[in-house]
Amino acid sequence: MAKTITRTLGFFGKELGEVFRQPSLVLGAVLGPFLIMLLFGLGYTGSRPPIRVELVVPPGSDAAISLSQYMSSLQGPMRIVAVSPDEQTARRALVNESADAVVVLPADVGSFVRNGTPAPVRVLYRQIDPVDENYLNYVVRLYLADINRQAATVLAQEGVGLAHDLRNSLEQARGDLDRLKVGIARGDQASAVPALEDLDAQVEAIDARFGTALQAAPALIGNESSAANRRPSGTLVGTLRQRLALLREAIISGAASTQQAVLLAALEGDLASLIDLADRVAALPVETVISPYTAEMTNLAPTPPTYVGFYGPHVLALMVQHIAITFVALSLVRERGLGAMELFRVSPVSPAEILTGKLLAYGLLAILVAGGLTWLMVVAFGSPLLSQPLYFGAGLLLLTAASLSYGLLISMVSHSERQAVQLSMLVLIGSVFFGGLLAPLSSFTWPTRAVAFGLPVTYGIEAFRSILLPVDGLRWLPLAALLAMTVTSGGVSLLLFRREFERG
Amino acid sequence: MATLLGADRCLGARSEGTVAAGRRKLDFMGDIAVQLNNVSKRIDSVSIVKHISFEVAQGEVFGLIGPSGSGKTTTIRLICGVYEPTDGEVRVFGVAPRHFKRSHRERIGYMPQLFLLYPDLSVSENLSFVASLYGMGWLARRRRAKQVLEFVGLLSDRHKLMRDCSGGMQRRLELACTLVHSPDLLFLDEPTVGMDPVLRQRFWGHFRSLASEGKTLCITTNIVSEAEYCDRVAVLNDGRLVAIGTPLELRRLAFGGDVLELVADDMSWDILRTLDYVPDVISAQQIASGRLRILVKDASRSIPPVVNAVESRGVRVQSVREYRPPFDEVFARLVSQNG
Repeated sequence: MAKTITRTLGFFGKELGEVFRQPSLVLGAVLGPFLIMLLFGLGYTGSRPPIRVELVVPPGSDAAISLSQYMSSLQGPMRIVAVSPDEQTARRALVNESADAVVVLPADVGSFVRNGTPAPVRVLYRQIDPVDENYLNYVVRLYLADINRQAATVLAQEGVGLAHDLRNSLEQARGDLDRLKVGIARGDQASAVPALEDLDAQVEAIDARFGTALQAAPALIGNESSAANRRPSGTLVGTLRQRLALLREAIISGAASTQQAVLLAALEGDLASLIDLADRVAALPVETVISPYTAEMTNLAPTPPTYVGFYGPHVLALMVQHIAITFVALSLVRERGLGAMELFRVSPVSPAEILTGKLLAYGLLAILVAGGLTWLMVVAFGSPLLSQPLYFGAGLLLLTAASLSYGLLISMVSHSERQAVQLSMLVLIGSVFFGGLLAPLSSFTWPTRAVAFGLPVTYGIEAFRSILLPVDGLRWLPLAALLAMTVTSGGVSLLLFRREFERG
Repeated sequence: MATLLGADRCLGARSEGTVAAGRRKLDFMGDIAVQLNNVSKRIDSVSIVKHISFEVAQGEVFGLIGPSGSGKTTTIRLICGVYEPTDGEVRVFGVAPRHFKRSHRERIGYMPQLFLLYPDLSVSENLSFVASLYGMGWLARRRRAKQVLEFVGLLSDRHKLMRDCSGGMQRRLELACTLVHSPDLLFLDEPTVGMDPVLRQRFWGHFRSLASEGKTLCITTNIVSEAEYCDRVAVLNDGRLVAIGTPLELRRLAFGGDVLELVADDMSWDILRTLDYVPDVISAQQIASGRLRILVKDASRSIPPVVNAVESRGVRVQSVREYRPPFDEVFARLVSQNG
């Protein structure tokens, strides 16, 4: 047993000795990733340069000119760099890359609107980057939504002006009603009938001019007010006119004064309701009418999102995996290249002792590097990784173990250092693309996602993310997956190494 | 007596009488350390070693000599257990290498031909690592490292990095690594290759010194002249064992006897005819004026009758001595006779 420990520690010491004889390698492993993160944190703004737009405004189109003026005044991801009357000239700007997009405004907006179809605003661009194309689409839709909202605002402002006119007409009707009341109260049919005629004409005029708007008004102001207001306003005008007709018959037929008084009171109530409605519509803020909803954002994450805070653990997982895989893969291949395996096969050392010694050495190294990186992230960037020290430690340990096992597997199938480096780089590239660093796993199709599930870094990132953003507590599945990877790839590697060791 | 192997190419059948191939008791040495019985090895259907049989006694310096590609390294690997024989049987300390226990392996020291140790480790770190492979504890390693580094003359360079060492120093360190665990049986695969003659002499001095301590050494070399330093030599060519014996036996085998060189005044052709009648003289040849090379069965017994015969013809003999042809010539003759 003592000799087994001596042999294992022999490899452990030899591997560490070789690594620490190259301090630049260790410094590079620790400081390199940190400096990359620092540069990323300092240099990445998260914003894109504005999209340079050349506007094509057809000559003589007032609507297009005002649209272009409006677009020029907008602040946002688009910047109007030139206005041209000619589409061909603007297209040349696309070709010589002085503009990113050309926006062609419609010549006759009014005719489209009159025909009940939206006027097309054509956008031309030359783009080979699908992400940039999507971004341009998004920005254009944003701008058009804003333009449409602006158009709706103008219409709404007109509607509010209409409400003021309605109010005036209703006030005149109330004046006529007052005259009618006085006439009826005096029993003076000669003065009552003209007042009734005036009122009738006024109500008819209101119905003709505001009838449609009055039908839409309750939708604008809501149904929270009195029972009268809950009645459709269009019905209200109709009722008003029916009552006026009844009153006319009552006056002409000389009906009882009580019946006339009841009808007058009802008419007064109807007019009051309509005036109230007009007042409320006139008092509405136009912006609220057009954009009745606004977003209120609240981030419930325990820490505010920052690029370094979010990507730091990703880079940490990636570096641990890369260091562990590369060092172990190269170490065994180098032994073969040096001819040391022949000496090992003659000596009393066993395959398990060789692998254990190497894995302990490189495991310690990877954890030291990870520890240094974690410390820098916690101290310099305030990362909350150490808020769950036990979970973080277990995740780091298992990620290291799984990566070391993968490194062993690579060394078993590699015949030269070059091949081992190539395979290690392939794993690194695969990890960058599919491990969740650049894009979340959910954005990949299932067969591609299977590649991600075959990489230790995927689970490492998942585990570290669990600390940053706990969902119903910490997630244990990534740790179980890392353990399973360690056992399977480590077991297969040991079997292959034994076979290689004993082959003769 | 030299042993010649291979039924179809048996030189001994012509010069020394047939000696059966196979196992042979070494009565002048101790117990058998290594035994090969009709061993063959094929790699990728190419025969590298063909029906080799020999034994190495404990305490012997045994040389495996042959040109590059003759199967020396493969033979050593078969003995060490790196390879399994395709046919035949290998035994080391009476045990087949595939059944080696750790205790057997601890008795073996192996210096591979190509292992260059670790360039980023120092001399003493490399040595310490190899010692740890044999389970030597830290204190034992430290004590023993000093001894072996002193033995190979590297004690003052122990802190030097391997990559900063000269080729000779690296080879000496490899030897130190082979010796660090005090093995009884050493396999040294071309230990002197690429060395200057002075360093080679020093290495062979080390080997003889180890043999004097009772160690058994199996050494391969393609520097044929090094056969002189071995107790016994096996000559390999194209995977076959061409000849085996002491250097003296091999020389006799190659030339058919011992060679005398005689220098005399005013020698005539009659002298050669006179020597034909001297017992034990096989043949004689004048190589220069007043200088003869005489092939005899045994130099120690033949010198007096040869001198008498020459002087009986009235010629004064200035000198007569045994001429030892260089081993390159011996090797070339053995290979060509066997080819």
